[in-house]
Amino acid sequence: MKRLLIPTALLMLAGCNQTSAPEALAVVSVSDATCRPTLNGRDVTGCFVTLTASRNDRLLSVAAPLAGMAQIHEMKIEDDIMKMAELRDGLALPAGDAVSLKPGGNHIMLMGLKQPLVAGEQVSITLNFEQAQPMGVRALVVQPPVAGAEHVAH
Amino acid sequence: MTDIPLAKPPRRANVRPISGAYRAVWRWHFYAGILVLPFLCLMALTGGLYLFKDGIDAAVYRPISHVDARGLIVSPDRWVAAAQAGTGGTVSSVRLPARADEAVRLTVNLPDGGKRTAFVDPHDGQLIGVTPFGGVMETVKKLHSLSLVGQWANYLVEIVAGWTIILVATGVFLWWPRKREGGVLTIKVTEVSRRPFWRDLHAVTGLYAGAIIAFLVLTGMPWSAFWGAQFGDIVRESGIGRPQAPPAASPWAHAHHKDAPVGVGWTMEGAVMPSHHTPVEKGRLSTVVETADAQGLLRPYAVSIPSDPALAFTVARENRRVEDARSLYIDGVTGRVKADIRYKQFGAGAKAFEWGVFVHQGTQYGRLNQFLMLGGCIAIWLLSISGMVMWWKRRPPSLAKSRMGAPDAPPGPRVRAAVLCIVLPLAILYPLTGLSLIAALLIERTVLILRRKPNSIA
Repeated sequence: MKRLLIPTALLMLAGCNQTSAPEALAVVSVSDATCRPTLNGRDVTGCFVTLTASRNDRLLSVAAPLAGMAQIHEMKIEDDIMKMAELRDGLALPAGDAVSLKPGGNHIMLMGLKQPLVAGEQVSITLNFEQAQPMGVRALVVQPPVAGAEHVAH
Repeated sequence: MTDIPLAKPPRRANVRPISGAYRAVWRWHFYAGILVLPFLCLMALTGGLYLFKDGIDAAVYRPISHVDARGLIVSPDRWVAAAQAGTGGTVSSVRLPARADEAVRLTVNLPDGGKRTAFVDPHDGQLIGVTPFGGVMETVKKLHSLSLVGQWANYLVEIVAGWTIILVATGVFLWWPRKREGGVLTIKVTEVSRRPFWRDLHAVTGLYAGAIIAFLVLTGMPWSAFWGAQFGDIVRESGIGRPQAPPAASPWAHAHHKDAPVGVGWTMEGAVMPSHHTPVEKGRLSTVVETADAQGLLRPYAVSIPSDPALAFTVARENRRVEDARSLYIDGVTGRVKADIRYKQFGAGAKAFEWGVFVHQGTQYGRLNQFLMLGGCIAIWLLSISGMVMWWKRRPPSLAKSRMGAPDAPPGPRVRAAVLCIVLPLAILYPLTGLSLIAALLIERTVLILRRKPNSIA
């Protein structure tokens, strides 16, 4: 019996081993989620994050309870003028590529904020992907270091 | 052999022409058999399966290990990032396959201490699947080393190994022709219902396979928990094992368990090299792979990624013959080769023991080697089954009086010397076997004293 039982058990193990459903494997890891504090009297701010997908994916939309509207924006240069525009088709996340949304580049735009954002606070943002499950992120409100900022402070 | 009485010999000595020494050895053979039979059967089965590791693995994991071969290969850093993003763990090693239609396998350490193997398509960096570490063949391997039930069980392997050698040695003694024309070389009795058939089957199988079984036991020892570790240290420290560090390289450091490189071979295990780089910049897999390929290292090879950025990456070729062994130690930041260790630099101890490892695994001499080792595994089953049948056929008429059907203890203490000549050297070579031997003798003494049969001490 032992001879029969062990291979059977092994096959069963092998069956359990496989995570065959690709959806379960489509995961996006999120790091360095930050938002800028709001400027006086403004209800708009930018948020930044680094996303790495385990399978080719796409950031389709974002949402934040604190903001009336949240969009993914790209920065592009047209006729020597830098323009900001919504990425209506979302942002491509090639597998294993760390895609950074960073100041001066692509970013998340929060509009119609219900309250001003102060450095040290946290903002909840939901990221919706084409493949991976939606993910909730808590972005820290920080003033991104700007070149020469320390000189301004003097 | 044919004059062994089928029935139990009478209690009084020197009535039957069966020698005291013979009876004593038979008794040892019987008890050693009972002790190791279940373990040996398990190890023979799992070992037999493991001989066909590549084929079984390919069949089981084809859905996640097969990819479409394309010209483009994305950066190895993206393989790592995809596996880490998908599993939430940290990649500790990467196996690069020889074929373009095979997935890259990454070992991932999870934050909870678990381990997984992630399959990534090298052409587009997509994570295809995740299995428990090493997959189904790792389970087979852990059954083979008994470590599936716990690391402590690995010590049992050593005890079983020692007792198996006792079995082979006593078996040869029992087979040895005494006052007869010759030993049993073929099965002469073909009636399956009769005990002589099983005895001949046992004797003939043991005769032809005994050497293979003893070889498997001896070459399996480097893996064992106590003896293997002790011997490994001796080989390493005496300088007949791992090569001396090249003059340009920094001194070898002993690896923390987490940073122990994979696939560098038994005698190199635990050796890591500092990369001698200020750990400001993290080493990159892509840099290391580029260097390894430029150095002409043949795939498949495994890259161990150090968690400590001060250490060099280790790249070891996955070889099937000991002569093909080669490992590179590469600085992950600069891509500089810190050391290039090949077979010819191995000491005599490392050469001999790693040769044993590859023959044990059935890869050193190709198919012939593989099937010879498989023959050893099948022989163990034949010996176990025929041994059990023999015991069943010669068992006492009633097992009610808690008699096991063991051969009678020989009269007088003089024959003990003959048996101990076989057993004692083994007990010294394998201390754990010796300990189990003492335990077995103590238990037997106790049982005998309790039963008040002082005349049957072996």
